[in-house]
Amino acid sequence: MIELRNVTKSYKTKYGRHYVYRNVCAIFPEGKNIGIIGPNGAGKTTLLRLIGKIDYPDSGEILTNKTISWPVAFSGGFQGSLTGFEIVKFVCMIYGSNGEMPDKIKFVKDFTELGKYFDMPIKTYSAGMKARLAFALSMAFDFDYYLIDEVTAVGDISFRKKCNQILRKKLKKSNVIMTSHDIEKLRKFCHIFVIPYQGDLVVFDKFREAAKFYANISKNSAIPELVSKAR
Amino acid sequence: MIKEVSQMKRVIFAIFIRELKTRFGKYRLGYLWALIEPFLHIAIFVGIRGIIAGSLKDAADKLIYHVDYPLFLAAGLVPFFMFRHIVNQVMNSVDANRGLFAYQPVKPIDAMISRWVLEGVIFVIVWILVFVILDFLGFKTEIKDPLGLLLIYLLLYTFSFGVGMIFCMIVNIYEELRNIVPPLMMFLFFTSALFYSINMIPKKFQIYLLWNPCLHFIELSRASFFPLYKADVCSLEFIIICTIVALFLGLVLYRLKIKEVLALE
Repeated sequence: MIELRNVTKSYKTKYGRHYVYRNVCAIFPEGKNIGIIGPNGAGKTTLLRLIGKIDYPDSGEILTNKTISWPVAFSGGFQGSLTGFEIVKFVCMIYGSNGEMPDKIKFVKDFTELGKYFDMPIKTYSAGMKARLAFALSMAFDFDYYLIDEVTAVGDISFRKKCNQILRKKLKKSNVIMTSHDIEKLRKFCHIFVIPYQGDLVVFDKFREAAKFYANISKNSAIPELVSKAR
Repeated sequence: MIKEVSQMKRVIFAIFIRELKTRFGKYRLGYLWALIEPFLHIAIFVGIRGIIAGSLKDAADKLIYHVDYPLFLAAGLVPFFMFRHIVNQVMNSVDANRGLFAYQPVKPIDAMISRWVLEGVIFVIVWILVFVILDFLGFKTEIKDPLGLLLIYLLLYTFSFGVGMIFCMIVNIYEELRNIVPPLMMFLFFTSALFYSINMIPKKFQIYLLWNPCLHFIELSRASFFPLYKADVCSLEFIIICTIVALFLGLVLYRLKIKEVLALE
């Protein structure tokens, strides 16, 4: 279970403070996959980052007794001079899974099919190779919730197939929280649909209601407050 | 509690290994640069004195309060560079490791501590090598009070971490203040008695220089180092208080402001 208690989050903008969330209270029940839908700038990624404890709210708190992953396919910690092998070792070390390190390294190496590149510095990788490494690294660890920002497929068709396969396998034991501006993409994975709307979160447990609501608000702008101020 | 401590130790160690590979990795001579820095400075100051005296040999053999000039310089410069490196490294640790905070076990303070530890290791190695090399070149000394020297170095080491933390919080909140750090370091370089002794300064100016805690650290460390060197105007109480205040202030600022710093992008 993940609970948001009176969460307020704002950013400084040219037009003054922009409140992404204002006193939001919400509960995401256990064992459900959560889809966050909204147009660009609605606060999808912000919510994901708040849940992943990468960003912090101005006030309020986010409570959970579950383990939460870093954003899947996140490659921010990849320093160019380190090799793929060293990155995997680093993440194993910080998560304290030294015992399973050989298994995890083998898994990532096989899954990414990087071959000799696995022992070469990240800066020699192509964007696709980096994305493969990032995805495989997330999948090598077990979490209760995986955070997936903008479900976009990485790599070629065969790799995409492999990604979907392993994700489905993971979903037997774990859950995902994913974001997209395309509601159809979330349909096959998610049970609960969350739509950030005017500083609050609207939660649906039926796809059809969520789709209807989303279609309705999509006619308006993503950030109504800013538009009214600019006028 | 014990779980948290062991997790913190793990994370600090992992980042330490990472920093070890990247701190000097991009330079051609790698770790040798840590050694080149003090020797280059010693050469410059001996050279300047040589030009004034008309002979390099005279400059190198010149005694300052019974201490060979190169030894005198090394005893000031090496600890000062440690201070400067720690402040800069800790100050930039949050920015440099922002990507790592997506991994939940990694906290900003872990990045700070691992950089601090790395600088400490570098200091010990550089210190030993510098004085061994100087000894080999014929500038010999014995250490008058090794324990006292160690105490002062440990205080300076802690003080540097506190100052680094304070700077880290300040420059992350007020980005523009980052620009005053290099001139401030330059100012400290000239006012910390690195290439002169506080005893050479007339009494009426000493009172101004004595506001600088770095000067007390350097001069007191020399007084415990060299058998005949004196630094009676410097005070151990002052640097102990400075260390406690810097560390306390650094930790308080961290506690109060770190979430705000992480939320800024």
